[in-house]
Amino acid sequence: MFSSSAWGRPWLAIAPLLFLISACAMETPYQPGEGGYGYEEQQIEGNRYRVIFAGNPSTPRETVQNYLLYRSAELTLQNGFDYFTVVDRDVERSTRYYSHGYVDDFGFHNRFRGRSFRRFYRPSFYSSKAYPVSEYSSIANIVMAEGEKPKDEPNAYDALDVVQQLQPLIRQNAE
Amino acid sequence: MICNFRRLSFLAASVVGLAMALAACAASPTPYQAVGDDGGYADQQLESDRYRVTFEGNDATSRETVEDFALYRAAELTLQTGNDYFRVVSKEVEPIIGAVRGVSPGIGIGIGTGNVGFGLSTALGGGRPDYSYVTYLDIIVYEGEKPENDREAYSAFDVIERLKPAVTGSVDGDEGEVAE
Repeated sequence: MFSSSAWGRPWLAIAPLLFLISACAMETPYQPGEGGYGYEEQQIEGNRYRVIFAGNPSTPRETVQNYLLYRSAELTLQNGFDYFTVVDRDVERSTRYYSHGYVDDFGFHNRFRGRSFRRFYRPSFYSSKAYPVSEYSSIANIVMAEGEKPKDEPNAYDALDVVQQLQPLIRQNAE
Repeated sequence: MICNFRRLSFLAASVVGLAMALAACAASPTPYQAVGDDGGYADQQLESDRYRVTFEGNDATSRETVEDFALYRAAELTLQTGNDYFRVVSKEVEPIIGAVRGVSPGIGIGIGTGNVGFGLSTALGGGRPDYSYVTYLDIIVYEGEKPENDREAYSAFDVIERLKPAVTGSVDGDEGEVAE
């Protein structure tokens, strides 16, 4: 459809943005996910776990990674172990696009003055913008063990050390 | 008269479109700097000797630059913490696809009278997204000589030496501005 002039319509651009901001302004806190956003774990065998942290679109990838590592360390200590080895890890990104657009069509006002119905052909410009919104979820398979972590294993993490380093970054939901 | 007006506005629109396209290309690449609105490096300590180094480039920064700058930051951090070499535990380069913008020319047909008209229009083209890259390096820092046969171990001093021209060159003459 033609509109007379769409140059001065910033609200068209702002409306979907406002919706997005209001929908998901809060980062996922450090919390159990229970199928939604947060952490989750599954025991695979005696000392082997799969740990997941899923963040909402406002949660940066780094935060998702930090929380996953923190949860792995916490779980290791809770089970009475000292260090864990990350056997495999993966980060997944899922992206949705929100878009809007409008048609510019030029010189409409003077077109039909004093005339009866008349056909017209004209060039138009369709201006559009699509915003990607991504969310990250991080997954790791870990094996826990007792004692000093091996010096030559780069994927072994000292659980207490990790907890101490990342503690200041952990944001929990205010009760 | 009417015809002139239409031509003029058509021309104006083309000029605006072209200007927008040029402006998008003219952005300068992210310099080596601490992270800000336009990207840069960041690091996070994960364990007493383990760090995650991140370098985020804008859409004018090539993937190679983003990787080099992350590596340079890793080397810098190694020396700053009093160590000699680092080992890359994991490395990832994530392409970020930004907003897809497009101004598509189209052709319309319609009918009208007075100041009112109705018509249908179709767009003939699509948009192009902005691409940028982020590099994530998980590193462990060590003291002493780097092990001979460890492919993941980098001598911090050597890396700085080799990548320095790329890093300072990108600051466009402001060589003193390399962030601390």
